[in-house]
Amino acid sequence: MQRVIIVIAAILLAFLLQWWLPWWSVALVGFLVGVFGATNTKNALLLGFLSIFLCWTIQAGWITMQNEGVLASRMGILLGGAPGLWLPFIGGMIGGLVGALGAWSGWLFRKWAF
Amino acid sequence: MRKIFPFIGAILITVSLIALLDWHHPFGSPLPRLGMLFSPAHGFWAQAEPAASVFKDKQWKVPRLIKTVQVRMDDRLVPHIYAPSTVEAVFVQGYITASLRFWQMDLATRAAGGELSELLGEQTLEYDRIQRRKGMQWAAENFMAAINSNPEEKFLLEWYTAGINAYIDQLSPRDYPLEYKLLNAAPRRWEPIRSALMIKRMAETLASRNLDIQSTNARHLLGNDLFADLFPEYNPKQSPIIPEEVAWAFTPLTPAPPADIQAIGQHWKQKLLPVPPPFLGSNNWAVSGSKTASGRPILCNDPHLELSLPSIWFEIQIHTPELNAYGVSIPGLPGILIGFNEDIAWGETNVGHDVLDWYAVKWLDKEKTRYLLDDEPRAVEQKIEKIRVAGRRSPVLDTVKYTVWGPIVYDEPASPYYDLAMRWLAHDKQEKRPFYEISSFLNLMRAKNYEEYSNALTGYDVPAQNFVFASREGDIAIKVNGKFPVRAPQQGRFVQDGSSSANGWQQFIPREQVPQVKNPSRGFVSSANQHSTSPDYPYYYIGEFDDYRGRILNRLLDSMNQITVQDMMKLQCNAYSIVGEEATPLILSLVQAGDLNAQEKEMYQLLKTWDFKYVKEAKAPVVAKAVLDTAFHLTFDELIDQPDGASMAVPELWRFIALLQDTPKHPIFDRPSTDQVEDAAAILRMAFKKVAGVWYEPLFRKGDDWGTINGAYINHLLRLPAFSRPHLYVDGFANALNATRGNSGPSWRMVVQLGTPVEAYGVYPGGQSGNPGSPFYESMVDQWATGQYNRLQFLQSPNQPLKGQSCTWTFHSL
Repeated sequence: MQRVIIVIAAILLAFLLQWWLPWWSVALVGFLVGVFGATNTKNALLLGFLSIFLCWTIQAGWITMQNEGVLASRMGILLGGAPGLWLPFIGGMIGGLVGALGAWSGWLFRKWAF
Repeated sequence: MRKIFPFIGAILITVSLIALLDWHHPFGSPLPRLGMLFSPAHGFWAQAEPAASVFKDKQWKVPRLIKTVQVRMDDRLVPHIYAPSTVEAVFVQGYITASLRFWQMDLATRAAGGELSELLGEQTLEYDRIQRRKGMQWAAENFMAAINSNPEEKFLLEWYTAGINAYIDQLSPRDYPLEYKLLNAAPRRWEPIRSALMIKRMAETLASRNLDIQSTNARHLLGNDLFADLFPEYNPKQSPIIPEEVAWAFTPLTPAPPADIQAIGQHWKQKLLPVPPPFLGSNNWAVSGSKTASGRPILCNDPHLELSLPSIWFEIQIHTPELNAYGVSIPGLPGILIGFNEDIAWGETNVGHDVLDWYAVKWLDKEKTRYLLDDEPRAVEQKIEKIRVAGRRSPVLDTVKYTVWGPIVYDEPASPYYDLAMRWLAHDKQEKRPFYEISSFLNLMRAKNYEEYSNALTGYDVPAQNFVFASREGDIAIKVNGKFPVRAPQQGRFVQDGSSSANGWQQFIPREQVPQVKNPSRGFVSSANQHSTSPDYPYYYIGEFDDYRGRILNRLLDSMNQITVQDMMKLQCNAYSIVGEEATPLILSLVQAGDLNAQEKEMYQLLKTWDFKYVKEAKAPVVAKAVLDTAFHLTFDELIDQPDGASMAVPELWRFIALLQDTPKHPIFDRPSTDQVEDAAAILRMAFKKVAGVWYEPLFRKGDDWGTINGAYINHLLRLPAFSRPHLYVDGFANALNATRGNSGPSWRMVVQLGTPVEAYGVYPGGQSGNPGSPFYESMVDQWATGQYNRLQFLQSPNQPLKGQSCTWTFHSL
């Protein structure tokens, strides 16, 4: 339950921060997840990944639904022929990876500092 | 012992990943900044417009406006601007056009001025260099000098610029048009000179083609007599724009004779400048009320240009206290270029007159800084061009030399004695007059009758256009309008000697003497890029003209009566061609069916039953065109196949067909590489058998037809296939009224019936939005491809209801 709350809080934070900060602010959110929400390396990576993956995939999914897939199908072709439906997930993976590494850094910071 | 190193290591790995994902073209790969691009708030998703909220009302606060401006957007996202003054309307036109098309405006004007490399890097450096050497910036500067001398045009451009910049200034990086994100670049603010570059881009596209070098080479190879025989200047079957009934009731200026047309009779190996392809295919016409079912005049226009996404045109209505006009604009220019108001309609096709000549410069020194003119030494002026290149710290510098003729575009070490200077009308400083091109279009938008239309055109020089006109009062007219040099016979056909000023243009045709006609007895006026006049026009001119569309257009219009707007739409989409009509019987009679095998006979039969319509489902046009092309190449092989790659002029298609018909034993049909003596019949048989060998399989086994072979396509401006429309299955042929082929075709089809109210229809192969993430990016392409039209919603009052979905964009003053 606690983990679910952490992930939801991280999603909301990443969603808010993106309006003021550059795209890699998701690493900072991951970092905070690592510092305050992780209990071991594996779970830091998992929570960090999941938070940002969900944050980006849900947003992109919502956007592409509203857009009726117009841009996603074109961008899919541009990026080497991926079906438009995959794009939110590909983006989620990229964001998630950054979030996971941020969380891992946060977890190691916590191990060192506290 | 707490260890800091794992933490530092993790931070380093994280930062490295971020750096990699934030790197444009990492390690030289074509990858964009993937992290930024996929971030929902920063990347491409920000350009995915929600389909459902397109028609939400919007409000903006903008500088400069004095009063509120209301814009009603209709169901195709056409803005209908209601402004308290014309400058405020133009401000809002700038804002809206930029918000929907800024990327295109930026790219087109960068392409004009040779500034692409700042965005696209090394790949366009050579292109930019050529644009600079062609003096495009110089031409735009000269244009601005004229514009700034007329307060109206100066203000119009300033307000238009301010509108564009009001849009640019409120952008944050996440709002940048998608293409900038892909290129890792930012839009830059607009300046009035960019609009001047846009006008010069039109001149480059429409009025820079010439055959001087190719013709000089062909004459050198063939000799004067054979050259004159193969390259006659006038097709006796031509149906010119101005009907024969028009008498030239004026005293023409007499051209000063040039020094010597033959002086530079040499072989030029220079690689030709990349010139725009001949986008011949534009049609316009107006029929008087005596020929229409409604008794009202109807005006039609379909300018043919390169097909692109975003489309070259942007539809708009502008309403101010002094005018109410609807039509298409060019993003980057204020006003409407082709359109109508409550009283008149107007449209354009290109005039093919050649206004670009090449002069051979005689250098006096090895460094090429001094040249000979009228037996005196002259020094060149040097202009240093700075080309900024993405990825380079300092700009690339190029020195361009200017002579009295113009810039030395060809500056080749290989030719020590001669280089070529470019004399181009579009470079010229315009002489002082009440107004220039920008106001010409504004005045057309305001015009109420023939006199006002005629006066509006006096401000317009380059690129010359056939301006067609119709009014509610019932007048129809057409004017071959622009600035034209007075030429002596043959002057400007070949490379000329640049050491004698007598070879230059001394005078220009007075505007009242340009070819024109008002209310001719035949009840219609028309143009299709053909010759302006019959040869009895008192002025000599050269250029590239179409020989077939004008003939079919005039033939059909002559035969039509009780015309409706639907008839006119059908005519714009008509794919019948006189090329097929003239060439097919020749092919059939000269290629006798007797010695053909079974497959060849099938193809022969195809031609025999053909109705000369280049429609998509037909197979015969594939055969007819291939046979004609192949026979053309076999006939003129000595011109086309040059071992040193030099460019040669080739005879026009009409001349080739006339040779086949009238002089089948002409020595040009003989192929020097064979022992026999070939004639027209032998060439056509050879071509037919060759074509049958190549095309039998695709046509009879694979099921290919004209639509799959001729097929049109519409490219994105960066040629990104993902943002383009490849393979459109459509009718059309270069020499038919519907001249769709490859990436060229009707870029805007318009039919206007002048009455109360005006009834107008239009469509273009694109959509109002230039954003690939918008539902309006290519919303009209399929409609266009199938010959459908939109009823244009020409509003008479601000509150008149719009059909379908709509919304209001309101611009408040700050």
